[in-house]
Amino acid sequence: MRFVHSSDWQIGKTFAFAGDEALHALQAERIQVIRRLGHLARKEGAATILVAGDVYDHESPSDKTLRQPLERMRDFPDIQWRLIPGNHDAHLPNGVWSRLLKAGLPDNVTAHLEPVPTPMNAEETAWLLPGVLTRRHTMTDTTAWMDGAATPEGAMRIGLAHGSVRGFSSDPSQQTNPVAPDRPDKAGLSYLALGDWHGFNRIGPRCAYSGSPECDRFDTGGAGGGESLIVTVDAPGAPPEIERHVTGRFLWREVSATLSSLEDVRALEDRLRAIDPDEPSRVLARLKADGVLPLSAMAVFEESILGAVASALLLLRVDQTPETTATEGDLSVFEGAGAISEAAARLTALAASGGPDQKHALPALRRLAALWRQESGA
Amino acid sequence: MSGMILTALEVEQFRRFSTRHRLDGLGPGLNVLAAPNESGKSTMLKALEALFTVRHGSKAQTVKDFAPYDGGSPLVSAEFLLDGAALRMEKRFLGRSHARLLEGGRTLEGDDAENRLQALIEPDVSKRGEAGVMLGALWVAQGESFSQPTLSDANKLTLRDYLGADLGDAVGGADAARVLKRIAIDLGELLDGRGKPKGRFLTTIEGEAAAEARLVELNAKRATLAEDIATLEQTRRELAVASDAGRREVERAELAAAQAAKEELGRFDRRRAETALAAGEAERLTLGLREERKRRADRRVRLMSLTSDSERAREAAEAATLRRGRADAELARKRTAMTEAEKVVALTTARVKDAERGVERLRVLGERAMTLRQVARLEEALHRQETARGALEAIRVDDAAQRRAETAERARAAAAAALMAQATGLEIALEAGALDRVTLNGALLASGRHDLLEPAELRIEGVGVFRITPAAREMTAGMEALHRAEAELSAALAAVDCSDMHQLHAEAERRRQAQATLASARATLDAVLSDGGGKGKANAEGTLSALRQRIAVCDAELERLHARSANAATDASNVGREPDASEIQAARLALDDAQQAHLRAEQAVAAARNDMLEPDGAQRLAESVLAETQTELRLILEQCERLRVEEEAARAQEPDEALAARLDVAERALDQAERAAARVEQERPESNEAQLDARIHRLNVRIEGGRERLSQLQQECAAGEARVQAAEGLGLDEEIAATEREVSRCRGAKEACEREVAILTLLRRTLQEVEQETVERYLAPLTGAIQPSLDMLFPRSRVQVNTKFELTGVSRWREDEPLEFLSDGTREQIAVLVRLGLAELLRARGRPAMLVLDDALVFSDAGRLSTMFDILAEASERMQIIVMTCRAEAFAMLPGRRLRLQAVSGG
Repeated sequence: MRFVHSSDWQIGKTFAFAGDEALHALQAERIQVIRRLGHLARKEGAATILVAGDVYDHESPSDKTLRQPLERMRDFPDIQWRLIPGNHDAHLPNGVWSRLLKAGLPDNVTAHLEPVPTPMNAEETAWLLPGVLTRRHTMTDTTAWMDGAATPEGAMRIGLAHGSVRGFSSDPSQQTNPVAPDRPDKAGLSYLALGDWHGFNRIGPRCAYSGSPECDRFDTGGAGGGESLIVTVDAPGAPPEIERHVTGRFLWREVSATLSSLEDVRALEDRLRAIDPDEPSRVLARLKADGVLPLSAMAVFEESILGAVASALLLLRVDQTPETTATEGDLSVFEGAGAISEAAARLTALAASGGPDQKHALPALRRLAALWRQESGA
Repeated sequence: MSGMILTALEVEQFRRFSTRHRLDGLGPGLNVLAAPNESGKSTMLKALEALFTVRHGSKAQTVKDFAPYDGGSPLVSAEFLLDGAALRMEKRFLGRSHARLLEGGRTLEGDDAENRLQALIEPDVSKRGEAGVMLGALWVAQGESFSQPTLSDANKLTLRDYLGADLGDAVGGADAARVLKRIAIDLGELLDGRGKPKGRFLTTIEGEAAAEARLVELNAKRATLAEDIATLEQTRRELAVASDAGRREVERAELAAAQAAKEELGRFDRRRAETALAAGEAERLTLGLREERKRRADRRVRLMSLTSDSERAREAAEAATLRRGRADAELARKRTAMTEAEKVVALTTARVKDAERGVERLRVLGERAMTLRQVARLEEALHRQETARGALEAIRVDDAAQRRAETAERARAAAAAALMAQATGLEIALEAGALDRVTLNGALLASGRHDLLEPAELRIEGVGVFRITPAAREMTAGMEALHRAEAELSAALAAVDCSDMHQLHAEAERRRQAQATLASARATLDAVLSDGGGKGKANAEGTLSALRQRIAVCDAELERLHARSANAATDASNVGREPDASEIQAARLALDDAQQAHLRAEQAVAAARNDMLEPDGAQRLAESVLAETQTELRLILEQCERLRVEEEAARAQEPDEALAARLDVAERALDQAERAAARVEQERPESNEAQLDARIHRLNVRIEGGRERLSQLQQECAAGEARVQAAEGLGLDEEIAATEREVSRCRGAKEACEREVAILTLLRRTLQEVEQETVERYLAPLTGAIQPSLDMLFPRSRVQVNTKFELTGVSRWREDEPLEFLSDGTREQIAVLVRLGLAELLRARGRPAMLVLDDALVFSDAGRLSTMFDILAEASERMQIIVMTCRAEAFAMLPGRRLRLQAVSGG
């Protein structure tokens, strides 16, 4: 038995920090990655793709958002797509899954909305045991029923669920959507395909999170997302073979730097450009730059990092910029500038003195330096 | 004196001057041109401006205005000294225009001449490619004396450079202005003229507000959708139930079962009522018989008890009778003692009363005697008063008659004295031997004075006779007056029966004595009355009557006492006698003895009464006990009798044996009835009637309204599905997320704009502060140059000049006065001083400075004008000043060269 394991497509997801252009690109790519999954399955000889929940990001997507993934899956009639609800698209009364059923699923797409075993192939040698979330958050394990689920003797049992094997709350009783890590053993599963975590994470010999096929955050756990799994199970008792395949297009990176000189700024620029020198437009970077820069270096930082690099990448999210200080070298720019020089000195003093204008003093000084350079032709 | 000194100025075909005219007499220091209106002073100033500030080739309207009314090419020429070097400049405008400058031995023509002239007088302005008018700013045209100098931007920059040249730190002022301009442009993209957001700043604010409003709307829709979904789910469940046919059959079966159960419940209730009724009857009968049996037993026990009680009560009554007899005997003995003591009290009481009457009789006798004495004294006093009053009334001389007589006497004496004053005085001094030899009217004449009122005859023996005749007329009048006075006196005396004044005085004395006697008698009467309680004659009679009445009362009281007295005969003999003290004392002692005896008798009665208390109480108690025991005995006997009667009646009605047999039968019947009721109760159905009624009603409503409800639920379900479907199709969650992103984006952009505005505002403020302070520093030389003159005109004041070199006001006595609040005269004077200051500044920088005033100071009063003359005179030691005026008299006191404006012959 060979199948693709994917999860957390979260179609329709919105990225608040992204500009319009980046947002459209990111949203479009989340649709486009479905095609890459289909091609991956064909290439790897897998007839089934299991999607472990969170197909949609919202409980009530628009009709277009609702239909877009269906149409992509319809494009691969030779592949069986098996979907379950997740916490983002739980099977609520009159919810997104009801709409899907009403809209009509393609023949090659199955929505598993009841916790009942379903044969995965015509020979009925492999059975899928789906866990179904009927609420966004539940305190019960949706895989618990699998322990007693009846399947034909000798059939391969594949679990499919959405939840967390490890809670983030200190109180285990408060953990939502829990999944027992030893469920494969208890329920005699050959493999438990999990969703919820957006990065690949292998929980045990027969249990793994595939992660989101297209990365969607900077701080994704595990391997960082953008992957899908090819799982091969030779026999009901045999350990599964798990292969990781990159399916994501965009590279999400977190970059931290401490800047104190012009050289540091240049080095940072090089690092950012080096993430993908061939195609920087598929890079999204979150920058945390601390340290203290002289005015002159800050001007370069603004020009090269915030200007040039930000334009080169798909998105540069700047969470922190270095502090600025006015060095003697900076102030020397104003030498002979009379009133300008005096104003620069006052702003420098204001930046060190406190008060309501303090936080604006150094930016004002930077602006003054820029204007002065333009006026003086320096 | 260095700098620029104008020495001659000529014009031809220039405005009002068609022919050549020349201003003569110019030289260093103060120059004064005093000429009437319309003499061409302003034209000469205009010509000076044309020469130094207008290029000869200009075709501007101002140049065209130079031409005279009848046309021509205006010509202006001037000779002047510049730092000691003599120059001559000539310009012709409009047709045949040319410029010519003679400097030393060379002559420059056209633009060369123009450029050289500018280079000489205003090198800084000429560098900027502008025909500078710095010098012209110092020249005050007619009617402009209280306006400020007009400075072009080039002039201002020149001035700044002049001022900043010594200050070094002012360098960059222009740079700051350019940077400020850039900041203003940047800020102008975000804020409008009133500091309100505009452009993208406004767009972000509006975008944020719109997105937030949209978000609220979407969330409301989302909440509505959730509610609709929940309602739809509920409706679907209800619909599933309503449309279930099997369930309807079940409901009908439930209804039939409920109705059957209710019928069964009715039957049970009837059976239970019947058994309960039988049991109740058996119970009532049994209880009645048991009660009768018990009643008979109780009565017998009670009768036995009462019999025993009656014996005890009889014994107690007998004992009480004996006790009461003893108490009665003791009480009678004590009552006898009490009676004896009361008799003694009666005797002592009679004695006391008799003694009291004796005392009272003596008191009344005393009072009667005293009243009799008062009557006697009063009657005597009244008699004395009447006697004195009679004596007084008998005397006729009273005070008025006495005054009339005394007045008449004084009149008579006065008339006699006046007559004597008219008499002829005869002073006689006789020698010893002649005493009997001299006679007057026949009588011997003694020595001394003799007054003669009538003719007299003096005879001196041995000498002869002398007839003396007084002046008769005056003497007669005096005599008449004397006679009238004497007659009035006689009449006054006769009226009171007096012969002369002596008698009158004696009578008056007697009257005074009679009045004293009467007063004494009245005083005595008053004293007696006061003792008797009255005053005056009227009161005296009343008092007398009262006293006599009191005596009568006393007599009546004595009569009453005599009647009651044991010694009536003795008392009657003593009436009218006043008792003595011993008699009174004896009566009082007798009274005391009687009262003592009476007191002792009363105490004996009290003791006897006290002795009676105990036996009386014992007697009462014995009486009470006896009554109680007799009553108790009677009641017991009555009860015994009643019970015996009842017992006999009951037995007669039904013997005890028959009653016992009947009770046995009733108890068996009761047991059977109770068993039957218990058996019925075991058959009680589980549901009660209320529950069954409610169930039947519910099922009836449900079955009967099921079809209608089914239709309604189907409609509601369809409507709910349509609503939910429509809302879901909108993709609310997606739109909410997108809108939240829009809010966040707009907010971020807005905050960026706010930061940008804050940064630019801070930068602008900082630069403006620096620029202002810098300008103030480099304006210091200008204000310093103005200050000496200002101190002469307005002590302790300072001018305020802004960065555009505009006078904004004056500080006087530490108070700022804006320019528009100053009077025309003051503004005019200060404007002149500002030009002087500018001229001083230019001169100090080695630039040409020359001040021209055309009909200035027209609003100044004489005092200020005089001070201004002093200021101008003082300044003229350092620069040339030309003053043109039509007020020759007012400016006569201004020292300086007197100029003449005259036509040049041959021009």
